[in-house]
Amino acid sequence: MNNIKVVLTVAHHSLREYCKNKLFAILIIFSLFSIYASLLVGIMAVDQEYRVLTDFGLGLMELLAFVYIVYMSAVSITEEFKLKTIYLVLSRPVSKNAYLLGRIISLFALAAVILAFAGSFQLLLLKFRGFDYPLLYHKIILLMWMKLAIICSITVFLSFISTSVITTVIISIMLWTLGHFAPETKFMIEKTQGLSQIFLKSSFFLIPNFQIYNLKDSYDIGLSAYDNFKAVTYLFAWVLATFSFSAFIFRKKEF
Amino acid sequence: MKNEIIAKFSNIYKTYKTKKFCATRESAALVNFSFDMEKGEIVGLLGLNGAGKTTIMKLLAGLIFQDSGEILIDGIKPILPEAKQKIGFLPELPYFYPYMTCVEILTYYAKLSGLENYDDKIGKVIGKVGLVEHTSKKISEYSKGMMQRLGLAQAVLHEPELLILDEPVSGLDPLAIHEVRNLIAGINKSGTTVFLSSHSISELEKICNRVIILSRGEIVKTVSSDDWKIAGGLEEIFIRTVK
Repeated sequence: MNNIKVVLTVAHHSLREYCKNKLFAILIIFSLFSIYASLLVGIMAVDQEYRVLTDFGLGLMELLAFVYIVYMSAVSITEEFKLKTIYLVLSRPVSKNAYLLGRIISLFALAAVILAFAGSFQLLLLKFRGFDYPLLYHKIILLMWMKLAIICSITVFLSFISTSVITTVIISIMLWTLGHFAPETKFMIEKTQGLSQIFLKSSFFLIPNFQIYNLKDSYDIGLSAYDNFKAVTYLFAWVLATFSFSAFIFRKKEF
Repeated sequence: MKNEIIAKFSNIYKTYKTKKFCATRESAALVNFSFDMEKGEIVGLLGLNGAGKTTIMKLLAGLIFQDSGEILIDGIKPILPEAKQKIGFLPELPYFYPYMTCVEILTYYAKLSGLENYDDKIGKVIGKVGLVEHTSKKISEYSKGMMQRLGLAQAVLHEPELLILDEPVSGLDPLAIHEVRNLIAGINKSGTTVFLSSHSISELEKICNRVIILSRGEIVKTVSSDDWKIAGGLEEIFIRTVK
């Protein structure tokens, strides 16, 4: 069977699995409720209602999507090992790389589903309040998805090397947080010397720079063509690197 | 005339390593295991707990790798997709995605096995294992016996040449055991080679042409159905060999 068919079969099956999870239903209800609650914050902001309503909703969307994506990335493959459902998949003509790729694609699709769902609801709310379609809204969502895709690939890789789901999730949260402080880390590197500088410099390459995807912090200015190119290349580089490492470990894994 | 070989084990060594702090503990699971399986046979694996039965099954299914030696399925290494196309595998206590129905799960496995026009095949196999009345139920509602039948259904769905069954009757009630036994015999009659492991001597005695007795990862005896008929039963031979 050709590998593309396997990838698509695994991806479709996995996406269905994530969406059938009770946590997914809870997350969707909670995110809709939270975005709806942002109306209150917006009203309190008086003059800045539009801006606050948009930013608050986007922030919530990103946070909630991040929580579910990281959790699912941490458990999706390891759970198959634990429950031994992987036996019935890998005893068929399915290559480990195709299976892994299918799983990762399904996680990317899950991030897209969550963002599309929550984003549509937020747009409806803005329309209900009589506001226009926010500037570059689709682009903000796309960049948000790219960030989630990177952290999802990293988490899948971490799930192969860490000893528990909790460890995987904690490390992912740390990387996500540190990844938003890239300009500050750069500044610190310039100010330090010797061993500290070497340490900070190496961490700079090991931690993804999520700041390049934060259009919502500067959406009045927008992103240049170079910034767009950088964002896409950076995404591919991280996804490819983490996929290669994950595939290497997975290939050697026994069940 | 010599029969065709479907599976060949040549001098297999397999060790499991357990890491504890700085030390690594090794335990030998298979020692110099060599064995040939002919097409059309039903071969049984018999041994005490930890004898290496599941290790052999997993090696054949390409789920683990040997340290040395060679395994071939119809001349192909088990980790290759071409070899996996030829096998059907039922692990011990199979587990399925609880939110799916048996048709959905078999569709997923049919697609992974590369089957085209699988609807008819799924219908036939569901009928064969007796799950017709339970097609609308979620797997979470299935009993152990039904899970085992579904396990068999997924293993034979793509009409493999070699069926590998790890403890297929483990934990089943007598009626279910009887049904599973008849199923295996029926599958074998259609030309599929069956390789199964079991703790149940009487089961192997009823169904197998040959039985391999394993002890601590080594073959201690290979007996044919004629041998145990002369010796007064497989149990006698097994106890004499393993004690």
